[in-house]
Amino acid sequence: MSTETALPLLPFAGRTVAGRPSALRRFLSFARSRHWTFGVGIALFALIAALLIAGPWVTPYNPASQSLLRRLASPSAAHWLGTDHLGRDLLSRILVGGQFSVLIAMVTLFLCVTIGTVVGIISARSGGWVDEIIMRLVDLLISFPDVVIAIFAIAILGPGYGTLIISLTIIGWTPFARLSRGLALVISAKEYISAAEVLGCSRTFIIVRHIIPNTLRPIAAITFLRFGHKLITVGGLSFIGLGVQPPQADWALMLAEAQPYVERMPLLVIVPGLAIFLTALSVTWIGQGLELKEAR
Amino acid sequence: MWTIALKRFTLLCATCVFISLLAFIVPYMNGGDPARTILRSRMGDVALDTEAVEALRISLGLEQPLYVQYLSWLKAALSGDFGYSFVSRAPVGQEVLRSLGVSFTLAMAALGLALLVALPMGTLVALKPGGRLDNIVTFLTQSLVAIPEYWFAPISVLIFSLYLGLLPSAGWQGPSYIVLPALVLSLRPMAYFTRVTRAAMIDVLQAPYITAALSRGLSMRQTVVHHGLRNGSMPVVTLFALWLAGLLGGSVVVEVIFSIPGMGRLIYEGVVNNDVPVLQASFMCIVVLSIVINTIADVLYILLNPVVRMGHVH
Amino acid sequence: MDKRLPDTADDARPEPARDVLLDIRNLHVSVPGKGSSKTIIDGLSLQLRSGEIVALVGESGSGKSMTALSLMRLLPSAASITGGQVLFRGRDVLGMSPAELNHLRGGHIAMIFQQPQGMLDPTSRVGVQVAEALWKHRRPDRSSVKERVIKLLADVGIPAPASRIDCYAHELSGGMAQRVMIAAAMSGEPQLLIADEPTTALDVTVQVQILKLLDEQRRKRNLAILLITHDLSIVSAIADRVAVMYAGRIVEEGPAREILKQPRHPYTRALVQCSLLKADANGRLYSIPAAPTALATGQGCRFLPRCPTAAANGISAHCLEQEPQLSIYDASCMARCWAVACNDHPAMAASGTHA
Repeated sequence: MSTETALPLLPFAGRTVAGRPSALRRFLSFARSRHWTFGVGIALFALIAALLIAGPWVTPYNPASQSLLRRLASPSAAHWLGTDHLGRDLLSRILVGGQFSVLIAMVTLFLCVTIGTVVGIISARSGGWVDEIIMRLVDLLISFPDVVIAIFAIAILGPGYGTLIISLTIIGWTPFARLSRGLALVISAKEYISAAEVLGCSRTFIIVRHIIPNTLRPIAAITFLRFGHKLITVGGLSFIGLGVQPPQADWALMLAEAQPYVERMPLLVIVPGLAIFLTALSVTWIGQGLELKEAR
Repeated sequence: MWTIALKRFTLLCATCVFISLLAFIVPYMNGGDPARTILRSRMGDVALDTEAVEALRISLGLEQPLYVQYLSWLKAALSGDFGYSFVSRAPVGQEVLRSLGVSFTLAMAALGLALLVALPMGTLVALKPGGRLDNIVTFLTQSLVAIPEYWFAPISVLIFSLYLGLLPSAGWQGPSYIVLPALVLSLRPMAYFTRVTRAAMIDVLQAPYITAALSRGLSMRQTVVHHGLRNGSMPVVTLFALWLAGLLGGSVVVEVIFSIPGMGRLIYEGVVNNDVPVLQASFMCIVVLSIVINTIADVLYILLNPVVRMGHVH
Repeated sequence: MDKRLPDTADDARPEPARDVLLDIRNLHVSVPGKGSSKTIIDGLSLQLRSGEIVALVGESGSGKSMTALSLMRLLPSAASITGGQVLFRGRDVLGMSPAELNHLRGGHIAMIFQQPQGMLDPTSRVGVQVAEALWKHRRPDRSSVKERVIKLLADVGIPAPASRIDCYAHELSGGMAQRVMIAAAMSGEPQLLIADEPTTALDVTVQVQILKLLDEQRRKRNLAILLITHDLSIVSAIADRVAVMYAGRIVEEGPAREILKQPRHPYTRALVQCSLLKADANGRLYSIPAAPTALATGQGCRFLPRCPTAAANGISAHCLEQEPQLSIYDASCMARCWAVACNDHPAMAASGTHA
């Protein structure tokens, strides 16, 4: 296959050509060329996503129903993971507890990717002072600690999911802008772009047809890596009471509520943390599988 | 070289002005009567009746145009006077300074620990890329970054304080109180530092001057120490600075968990109590510091690298 | 193009001491690949005596630099020594422990390289790097180190050496950097210097200075030098003996003067002709056809595909069937060619005595 040399960089960029293996087949062979953590990450993420979507229907108990008689119960046949300090079933709460934070992380990331990629490509294609200003801004924002910015945004705009998403987006778009700008510059320097320009293709056509497909894989890699990071950040804010609010079942919130009982019932801390860890781990592994050039 | 320095300096100043504007505007943005909020911050008193507010409003010049108010606020702020905390009624400037010291100590301890593990580990692994140890370390560094500190913290408290009774579980009263939070905070930078050191050292060890040093009879260890580490640690310096800036205030979750009176907790309590002067001061402080630290990192990078220092490479 | 140095007139050349310093016997180096491994040095044997300059000549890819690195056991991890012996004063370098190797490197055998600036650590001062081998091998007392480094730098002709010790590599010109490399190499007082294309990256005028410096050091210290180069004018300028390498093997070896004056092996002849840059009868510059082919492990002469003699006279059956041995001709010279009359065999005529 003549595209073999281009494949490591641009696996999804191929246009469908008769005789080429199907997309699924190509994806499978790509996955097989990665480190084993890539495949495991995908499987784990799929499992977690399925459980989160199915969560409300498969929980053995109502995650919100309290029973002071069954407070801090150890794992049993009735409550597989035991109950929390208000007698709520831990398993049921775990099953639904990721919905909010994962959703917030996803929406934030979607905004970051969109804004960042658009800004980056605009920056690269415009050049000159527009490029200069945008990149200086990126340099500046990228060095701020994002939890701090989020907290200040909450201080100014008041708490709420909207604030959370906005505050994480304010800084979150910058890596994508930097990456997509770099990629766009590299790609537009390649000959086929000049060829397209010589052939009289419009600027929009070049962007849509050539630049965006070829930036997909590196951007996908960063997206997955940032996903894990965002999830942990959202959890951190929820943990200190500035994110997801009770009585909503949320992994980080459950962790925070369980703090006083950590010695009596370590499971209350271990399990929700494990849920966040595994979710973050799965996307991190996917991202790293996409990112690394060589597979081992 | 000088144009770069000038550009950076201008950028630094512009950002500081912008940040101070943002900080100044906070009391006007977060609802409530700005006059009341500001007066409260200046007087350090909660019980203000309406007449007093009106009287003070005029006497303190709050009816003046905003830019005049901004300039006088900025003038006070530059001399370290950010008013009084709503909660503790103490001067905010001092409180921020004290918290910064605590956070800085904690951050340096955490990053020092991270560096202490990462530099030798990354170097060791770089000596045999693709080896068994490399595979294990790479796997670990890829996985450690996914551990949330608010999970690792309670678990480490459970193990080291509650079960083993070795270390205090919370507070800030002596060296032993730094260990657990520093350990928790160091995990992620450790992973990143190791990864960066490994990549840089693999590059450096292939450099011709390494072969030349070996040809002079230096052992592999001497070669790595004298010629490898200095060249290989440059990217880590930049990363270190980025993390240092990030941990001043960014360690909020860990500071809350371990009740450490650092910057993060100051901000957190400022938000919870709507303590406007504290928020203004800490916001300015953190943002300006993170810019300054990054600038210092760039300078340090140049100092470590004589080729850049002499202006041969732009 | 003649770089013959004024004070290296033929009659002034000292008679080299007779003791063999370095004895390379049947050295094999290969790069293991998936399935098959590729041999890049195939049965190389060479001797060096004290005070002698031996030039190892060949095109890039012929294995010269790999030979140099394998003598110091500094091969890149992808390549490995698969056979033979490297005897330095009778001790096999290939069997040495890491500690013995560190003692050997710099203390007995030193090396200088093609890109002198890249060979100096960019973040470390020049004086420190020169002092390294001194510390390692000569154990000076602390107070005298600076003095000795300055003296070493002065010895290699660096002006104002005291002010140069605090320089960094990028502040030096290529010629200066190579002088520093030579000073660093000499600081361990080695008996053998391996110079891997020491002048290739330098200006022509600087090349002559560096060669002169190497020759001086040889005389002063009775130093043996293994000079690796592709430039025959350098060979004629300072080398006592020359060994010509082709595709991982030596194809001709002997006293430099004789070989260069009257090369026998077709490859050496072609090299000499190339270096003269003379146009042929048709007004075209001479060049050897194509590049060295990948090492075929088949029988027959490896140079055959490019051999001008075979092309002119027809290919003999010998050339096709059997790789010729390195055989003595003219008492002191050796060649690996069927067409050269040697002690072992007469010059095989084209179109073959063996049908």
